[in-house]
Amino acid sequence: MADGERTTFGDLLRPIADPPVRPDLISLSASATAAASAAVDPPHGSRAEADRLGASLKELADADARIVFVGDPGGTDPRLVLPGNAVRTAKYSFLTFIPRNLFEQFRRLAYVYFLAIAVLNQLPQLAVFGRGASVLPLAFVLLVTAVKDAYEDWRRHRSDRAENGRAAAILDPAGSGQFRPRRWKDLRVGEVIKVLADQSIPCDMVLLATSDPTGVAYVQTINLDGESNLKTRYAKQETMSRLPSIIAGSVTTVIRCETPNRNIYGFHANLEVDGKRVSLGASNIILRGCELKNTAWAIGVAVYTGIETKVMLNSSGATSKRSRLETHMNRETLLLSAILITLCSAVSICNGIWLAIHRDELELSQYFRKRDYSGGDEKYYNYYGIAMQVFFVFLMAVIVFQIMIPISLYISMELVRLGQAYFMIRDNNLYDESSSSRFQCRALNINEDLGQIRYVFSDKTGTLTENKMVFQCASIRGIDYSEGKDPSPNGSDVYYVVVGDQFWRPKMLVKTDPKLVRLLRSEGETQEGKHARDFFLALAACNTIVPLIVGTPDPKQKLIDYQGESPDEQALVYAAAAYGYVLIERTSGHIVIDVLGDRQRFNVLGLHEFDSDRKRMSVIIGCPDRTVRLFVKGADSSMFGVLEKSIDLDIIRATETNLHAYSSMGLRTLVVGMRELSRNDFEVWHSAYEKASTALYGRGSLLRAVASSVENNLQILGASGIEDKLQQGVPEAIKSLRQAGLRVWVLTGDKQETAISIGYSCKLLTSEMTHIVINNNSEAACRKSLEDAIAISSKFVAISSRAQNTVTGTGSARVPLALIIDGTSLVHILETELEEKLFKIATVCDVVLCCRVAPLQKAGIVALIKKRTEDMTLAIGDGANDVSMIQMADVGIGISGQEGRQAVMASDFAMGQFRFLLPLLLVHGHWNYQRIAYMILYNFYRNAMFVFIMFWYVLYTAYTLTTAITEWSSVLYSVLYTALPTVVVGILDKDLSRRTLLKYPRLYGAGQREERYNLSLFILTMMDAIWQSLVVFFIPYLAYRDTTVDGSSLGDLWTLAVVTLVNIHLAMDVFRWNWITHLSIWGSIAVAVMCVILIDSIWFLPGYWAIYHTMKTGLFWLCLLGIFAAGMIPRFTMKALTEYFMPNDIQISRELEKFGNFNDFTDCLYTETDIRFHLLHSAISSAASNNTKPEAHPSANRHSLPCQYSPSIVTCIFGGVTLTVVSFLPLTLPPVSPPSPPTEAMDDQNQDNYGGPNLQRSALEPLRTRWTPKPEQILILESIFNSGMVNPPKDETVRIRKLLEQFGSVGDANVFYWFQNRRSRSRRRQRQLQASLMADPRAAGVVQHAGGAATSSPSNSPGGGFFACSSSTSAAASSSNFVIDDNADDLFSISRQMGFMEATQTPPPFMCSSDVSHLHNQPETITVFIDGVASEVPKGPIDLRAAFGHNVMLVHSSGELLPVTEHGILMQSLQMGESYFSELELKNASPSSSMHGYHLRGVPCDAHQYQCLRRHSQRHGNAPPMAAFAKALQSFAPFWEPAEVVFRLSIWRKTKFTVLMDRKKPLNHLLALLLLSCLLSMDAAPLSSVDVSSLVSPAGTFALRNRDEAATKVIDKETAEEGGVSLNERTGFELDDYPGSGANSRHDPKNPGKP
Amino acid sequence: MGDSTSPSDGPAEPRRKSKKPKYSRFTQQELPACKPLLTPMIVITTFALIGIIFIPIGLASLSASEQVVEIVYQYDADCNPEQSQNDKVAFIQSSVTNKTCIRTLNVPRHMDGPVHIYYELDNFYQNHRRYVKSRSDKQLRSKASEKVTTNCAPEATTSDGSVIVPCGLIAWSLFNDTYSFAIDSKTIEVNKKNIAWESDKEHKFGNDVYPKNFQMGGLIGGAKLNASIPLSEQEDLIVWMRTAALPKFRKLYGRIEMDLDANEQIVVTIQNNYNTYSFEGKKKLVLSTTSWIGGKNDFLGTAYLTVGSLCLFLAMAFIVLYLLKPRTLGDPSYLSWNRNPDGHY
Repeated sequence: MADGERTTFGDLLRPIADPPVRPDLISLSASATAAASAAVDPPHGSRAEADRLGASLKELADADARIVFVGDPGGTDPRLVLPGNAVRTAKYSFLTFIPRNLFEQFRRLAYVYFLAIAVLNQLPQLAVFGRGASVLPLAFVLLVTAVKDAYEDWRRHRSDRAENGRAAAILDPAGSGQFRPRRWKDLRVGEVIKVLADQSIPCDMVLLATSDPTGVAYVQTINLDGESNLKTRYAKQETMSRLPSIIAGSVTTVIRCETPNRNIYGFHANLEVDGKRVSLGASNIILRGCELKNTAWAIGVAVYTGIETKVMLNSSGATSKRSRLETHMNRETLLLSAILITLCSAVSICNGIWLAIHRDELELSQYFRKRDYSGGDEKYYNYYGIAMQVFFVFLMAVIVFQIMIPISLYISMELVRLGQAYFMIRDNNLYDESSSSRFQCRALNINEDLGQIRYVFSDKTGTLTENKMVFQCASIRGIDYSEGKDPSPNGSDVYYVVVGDQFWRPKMLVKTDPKLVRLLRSEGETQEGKHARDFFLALAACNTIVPLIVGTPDPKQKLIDYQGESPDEQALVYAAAAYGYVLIERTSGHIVIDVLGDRQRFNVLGLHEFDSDRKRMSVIIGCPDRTVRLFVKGADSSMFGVLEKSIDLDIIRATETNLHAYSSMGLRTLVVGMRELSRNDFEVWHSAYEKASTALYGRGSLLRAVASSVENNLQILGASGIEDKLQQGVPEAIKSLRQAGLRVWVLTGDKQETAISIGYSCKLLTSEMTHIVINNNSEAACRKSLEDAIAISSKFVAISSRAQNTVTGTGSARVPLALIIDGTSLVHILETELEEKLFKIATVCDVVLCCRVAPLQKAGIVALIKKRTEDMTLAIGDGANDVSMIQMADVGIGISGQEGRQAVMASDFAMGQFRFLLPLLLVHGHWNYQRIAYMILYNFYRNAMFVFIMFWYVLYTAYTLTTAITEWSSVLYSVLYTALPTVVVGILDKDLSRRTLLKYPRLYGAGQREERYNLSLFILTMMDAIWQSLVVFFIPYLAYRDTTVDGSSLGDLWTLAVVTLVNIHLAMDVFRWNWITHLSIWGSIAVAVMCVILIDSIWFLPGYWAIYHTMKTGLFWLCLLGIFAAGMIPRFTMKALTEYFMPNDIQISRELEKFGNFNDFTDCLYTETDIRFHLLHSAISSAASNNTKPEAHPSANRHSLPCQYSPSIVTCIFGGVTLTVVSFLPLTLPPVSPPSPPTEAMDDQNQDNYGGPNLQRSALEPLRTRWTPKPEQILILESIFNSGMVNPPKDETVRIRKLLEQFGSVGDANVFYWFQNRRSRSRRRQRQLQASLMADPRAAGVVQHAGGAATSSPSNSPGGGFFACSSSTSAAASSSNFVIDDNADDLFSISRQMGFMEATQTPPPFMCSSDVSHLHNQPETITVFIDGVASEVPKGPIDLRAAFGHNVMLVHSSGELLPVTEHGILMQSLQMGESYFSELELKNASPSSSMHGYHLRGVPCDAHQYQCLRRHSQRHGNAPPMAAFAKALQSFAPFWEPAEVVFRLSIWRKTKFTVLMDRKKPLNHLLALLLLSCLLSMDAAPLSSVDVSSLVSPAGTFALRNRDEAATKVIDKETAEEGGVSLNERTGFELDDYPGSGANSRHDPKNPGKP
Repeated sequence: MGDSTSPSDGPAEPRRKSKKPKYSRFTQQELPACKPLLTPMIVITTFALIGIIFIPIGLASLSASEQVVEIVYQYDADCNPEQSQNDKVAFIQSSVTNKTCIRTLNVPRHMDGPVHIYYELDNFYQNHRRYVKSRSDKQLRSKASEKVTTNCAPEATTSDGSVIVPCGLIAWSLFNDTYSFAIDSKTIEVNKKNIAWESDKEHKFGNDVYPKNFQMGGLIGGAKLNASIPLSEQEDLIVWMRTAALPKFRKLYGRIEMDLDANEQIVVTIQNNYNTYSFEGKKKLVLSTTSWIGGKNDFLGTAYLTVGSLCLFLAMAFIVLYLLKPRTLGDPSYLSWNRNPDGHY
């Protein structure tokens, strides 16, 4: 056994086996292998040689290797008793259930305590409680757990039975050569098994033969490691060729393999057939749990069965961690134990003293009766002397006061966590539609830790990004081809392979650059074309991808699915396919590529696998034209070293430039090179390659050497840029997380540039951050950089603290710092004394980005923080490389994504998307923490109070531990009378709603600061417990002192008083009362009353009928009432005082929820709305995720990162009214296509284009009549168009049509043509704009400004020109925003998304500002936006008073006040392109005014809303600029009757103000919201028909007026968005707040400041 | 039927396959709920309400307690003859000493009948753990379980092993002082019926259980019982066996079913038999009327008045505080990050 373990351990430590080598090549050396293995173990051989041999052969010769005789299970290793193939996941059997289950349960310390107390109580001297009463609770808990376990185990038994009963085909041992069915559980090691395609593999088996002549078998290992791609496994040629004789049993075949171990990636064995030895590796074994795919059959021999299979050895249970709260709780439990001991000691000592004092009296006193006279010998009766008496009393006191340690708490905590886990799992917001995966709670003990996280360590690939690689652009011979255009699935540009009468097309569509397509197809003969062809040939050939042909519903169409281990390779092959180089077939010897319709076969002569040293892979291909070519692809760093520099220097330079551009766009880059091998070269290589691949040992390094020798002097073909798409919602999630005070660290294996650009795109890095970059190669350099960094950071901190003191006095945003550090530096830093420095600098920085880090370094970084702080860490990742980090962190979260399940297996929680972190931490984490924290404190209080009451009574019983409260009541107290409410509250109570928590991420800080559970709270609670126990005890005591009351009556009074009081106490602290809470709390009291009555109805108990007697008296009720009042007064007063005068954020947010400005959901009313919002939300999000098809994405312009969402349309039914809400998800518009002919001409043309191979045109024809869309339909269509779906694919068209049909009949074709026309209209408008730009250079800046995103992106935005606003609620102000927002914002968020948002895709900030400056060409002045108006201001200090007048302060859009000198001169220059707001009143406002809050039209609102509204009313008077708005709207909506416009406006106006004033009508609110959104979505539709100049006029008047008011102001609402994080909210709000200002913003005209 | 369901299976299948949690208010934790908040209004109302309710109750209790007339006479020391003051225990243990003790009590105010007669013992731990357990309810209830004397030690059996009925220390220590009253040498009848709970008489003490071997042991604890009367009619025993909660307790001895006028002189004849001298227990005779609140007890009234006025005071205090330092509820500007924008956002 010990030996076996040692071997296993050694195996795990040993490096993974040599890279798999093609079996046919290995087979050539089979004889050599055998010969060499016979010669192994030279006794005097050199040590090094023995080491290099690898341990496998040597060890396998050892006695503990397993020897398997193929086809002879009986002869298999007689020394060992091998398990059958039956698996048993079940823990128990009928016989073992009770003892084992009890054993399992008593491993819990709490139960042991329980048991010890119960046992103590069984001693006659100590019997405080009756036997039943003391054992019952424990027995109950044990029973419940046992039943639960039994049920689970029964289910396991069932699945075991099903698994074991499956059939496998076994070679008949009788020698008939036939395969006979056998149940899985009867399989034995050594048996030969045949597995057919798509069958599961019953046990671990060594492949003997497969249906493929080369011995390849494909397996899917999804059950094993979760990777869904196919893996190749090989049968040895020796066994392939000898299969018949093996089957016939005429050849003795022996396998010696290592003892079972859990390493699924390694296997060491050798095979002896005919006296020859062949070594076997991981590629020769197929494991249980896998499925055979794509291979007709495979025959193998079982080597490990049942529990020895690797999958079974790997099935480990969930991780068990202990939460921080529980750790803290244990501290308080110790305190409670101390109190318990004190109480017990006090009682026993007092008892001793009392005995000593009354020693002489006891002899005769009737109640003591020291002696027993009945026996005649007058012995002591039950009296053992004072010392013993004291000791007994002590033990009895422990029994009586046992519940001081709230053992039941441990059980209720488990219940509560179970409940919390249930709700987390069931939460729709944590459900990932795309992967159809629910949230998983793998660790049940750390729910509440989620509420206390301070550091988040995130992986990048697959976590922040989708890990769906998409080929974006290529640089071929230095020429950049990145103008890719999105393919439509039916478009003519999709490349098909015609096979017979079938069309095969790649499963994934890749956008193609038309220029490149042209080059490939038509200019193949030019030099350029040739290079391009080589490039794509390289992409198609140089990989290990296996194409699979998948059927579709259409029998004529097949999809080619590329399966491979590397997503990058998949992307490249898909790209090659899209350009016409379709990989169709791969076997081990050749590949078939459809080259632009011409099917060609290429021989694969050699393949050098990727390894991390070379960082490249290569393949040697024999082409049909008899040439032999070497294709290499790899990382740029490794490739540039092996390129032929002499010829292509220019091209290399150009490629490098392109590469830099790609990686700064966040693309992953690979460089492709090629060399044509001469015959000589090939011969040399071939012999070396053969030698290396047949080498016995050191094969890996030999092969590497061969590869290195041939991979040189390459001709550069080009480079590829692959996009790793950012996951949905990541930037928002990161932003919110950072607001919540979490520090987000990204640890990635990517290189620095990629990491930084991803950092920007996910809003981790912002432009105002100061970057500290550390990448050094030596320790000294690292030390230096770290010291520099510390110096810099301390300077920044000093500056900001000074700024805080001088400027605002309340602290302002300091310059954020970002630390970027790479793996090489970390090598020198981690685990050296530099760690301390790194920690120092890293904790100062707001953002830390680690690139090029190895898996272990990730864990090291987590440990760096974990070791040094008390703060909680969370690691989130999706891949095997994140496992160490996940296990190291306090909370590990696995993303169940593309990279397999290792991360999930190692994690505590698993979910589908990174963005779920937000609801998980901010909502569930907060709730869990709050609930558990309260529950623990409450349980302490509840039990302590009970104990104290008993303690006070003991003081009046001569310290003899009599309890007035019946033993049953004291037993039931913590399990029945008061247990359920704590559990219910622990599971269900919510201090704040989901929306509030998400809206104010900073509320999360409560958990980080441990606000809800700490020592002082504990002490307060204990004091409260003591006070209440005094009240409960002494009020009846004093009231009944001089009466005939008996013990039981008083005991009943105490029982009822304490039960009711603790429940009232809980009731007072409950945040939300739903029916379950009501039921549990009042129900518990009722149950307690009933139990007391019941107990007093049992005649043999002393308290018989007592409760009936006491309840009859008024005294009883007066006592109860007095107890409640007196008991609760201190706590109630404290609560009232703190909540009102020292409110914490949670309290204020609760008030906001209840009374908040626009938050008009009062009490129970709110839920209705909540649910509606929820419906909306879930519908929108599901629609969004359904729509998020990669093919459907319009491509971003080059500079913006891809974060677009397709539109989604949601129909919700509210109270019988069907409302259609279109969610207007932001997007980037696609690059403008070449102009198209106008509408009518388009129709026919489109019709032709539309007819893809699949389209049933006939179905569309009948509806092709003139279609007059209804306004609602137009509204929907416009919204969809504006949201970015300008060219909907077919299925989308159908969906849209269905949606439209609710309002009137419409056909698919109508929809299609509408979009076509709409597109051309918008193009026309674009052209018009461009033309006007050309014509009027003066207007250039203007129109650019007005055009919104036009400044920063060349794309046109149909609506943007009008309602352009800077709101950068960037790409993904998606559905989640919609719901998160407060009502007020909701009202506008739709409009924002609808009217405004589509305009902008936040460009990288530097681009933006440079564009702006470029536009204006005026370096001495800069453009800023003051109150939303673009103004030219001189650079440098500005005299504010001169410009704006007295009392005006400028406030940056981030809310920061700009510092001003006494003379009103700005101390710092305004920043180009930023938004500022002039604040008139700010200075005058007395400090106390902030205490009053603001009221607007009788409605309280927050400061900012107040400012907005006030400012607005200053400008426009109290009436909103309805007329202007109406006019503008009318001009835009010619198809609406004027009356209708007015009607809509009036509705809008009415509802809006109703909303403001009547806060009790959520429905109105929603209506208003919808109407408003409808109105605003109208903007873009009629663009073509409206002259630009006419748009300008209505608002021009405003412009003039404003100019009068403030001469420097210019009417232009457009703001160049920069960084945008903080800006958008404010600007967005302002704009949204008054649609009139939308009209305002539109025009613009001549910038008077301009020359 | 089967036909009609089969097409619907189609769409149902993938829906079942989808692991998306089904939406319900419960699973999304969005059950309709109320969110109580301690608004100033609620706080002030609560305090005021408590004050308004408690003060009248307190006054009522006090007046009820005031109406109760109570005569308490401690006689354990008084009824000891001068000569045995030094050895009270010997006096009480002796079977020959005359333990009759005649005293005159003055009725301070008019007492409405029935006047309850209590004896009050102090320092007698009827709640002592050794003591409370020492009984056998089964034995008390039925003759059939006469032999069940669990927990009754050391008064379970006589020295010869026969069962004691009723067994146990409680019964054994039955109080045996007797009182008789006379006004103007006219004996006042003491009604000793119905002094015990009906429930006890009917269900706890059997009417077929007769005392047996009671007080026959070496140490006499208290009263002897008439062996011919079933336990269910031994009301003194029943009262005694309902053990008191506290070491100072009263037990009902009987009732005087007549009014006592003010300043009447009652002559009490006390048979001072019960030995409280060995543990310095006090014995008192109490004559008391009752009210709805029970006996004389000022505590509850005082407590109610205190709590009530405290609440009224708190209500006032909160009104003042709210006026002095008003705060708009739900004003976001009070959020810590708005008051103190410290972070980088």
